[in-house]
Amino acid sequence: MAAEKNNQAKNREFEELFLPLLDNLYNIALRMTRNVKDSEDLVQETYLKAYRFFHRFERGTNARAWLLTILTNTFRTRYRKKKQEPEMVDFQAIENFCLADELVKTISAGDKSHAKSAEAVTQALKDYVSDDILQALENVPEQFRLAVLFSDVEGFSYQEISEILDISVGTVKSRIFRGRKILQKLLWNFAKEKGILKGNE
Amino acid sequence: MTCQEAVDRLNEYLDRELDNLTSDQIDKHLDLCRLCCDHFEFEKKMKSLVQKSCIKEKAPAFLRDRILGIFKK
Repeated sequence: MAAEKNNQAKNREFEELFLPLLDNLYNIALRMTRNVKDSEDLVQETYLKAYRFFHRFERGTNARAWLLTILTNTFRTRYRKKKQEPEMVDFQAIENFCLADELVKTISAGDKSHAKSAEAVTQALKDYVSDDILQALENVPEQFRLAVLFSDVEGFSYQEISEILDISVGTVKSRIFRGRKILQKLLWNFAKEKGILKGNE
Repeated sequence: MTCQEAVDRLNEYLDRELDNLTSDQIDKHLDLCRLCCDHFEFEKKMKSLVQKSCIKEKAPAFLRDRILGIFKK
């Protein structure tokens, strides 16, 4: 009887802590695996492991960070090599790339005032739809993608990201920096291909 | 603070990783420099665009049921 009651309390606590994070985890899994079926499996496996190791969860610490650490480790051991990773990027070529600058250059090729071009750049950014962002993100190599996701989507600090990914804070910093550059370069390529800037040229 | 010094700290500024003093120095620079101000605004929007694009999906109902099944027997 007492054991059963204990178990019920444990289940309730697990549900309260972790179930509200399901959508959150699912979205990150989608961006990690870039595949719906794998995301479902990955999330399910993460919850199974979390339940099995629930006794190791330190009460009062960040439940989301704990769950995402399990998700990341599971992804790394099980799912990573399945889909072809994008090719590594030539960093020298993108080290100084800045999407804002490129947009300004293109837009103000005509003789516009600075205020107008700033407005137009903001508009150009609005012309990117979610699908463009997601597609570009898919093509950012995994190590950079994860760092950007944890910073931009989850809002974790560099210290938290370093713990989840098990890398130094310095490495987190450089991965976020480079990940954002790669993302912007890919978005710039889209803009050119899709003629997002056509009206301004 | 020069433009270059501000831009060098762009990511840490956006990610709230700077100490208050440095962060204030950047804010002061942004108040004075239109170009940097626009640039920082752009990067801020970019960051929130990534976030918005990545939180759209809801986990399918069957997945929720399977997960409930883990501890609700």
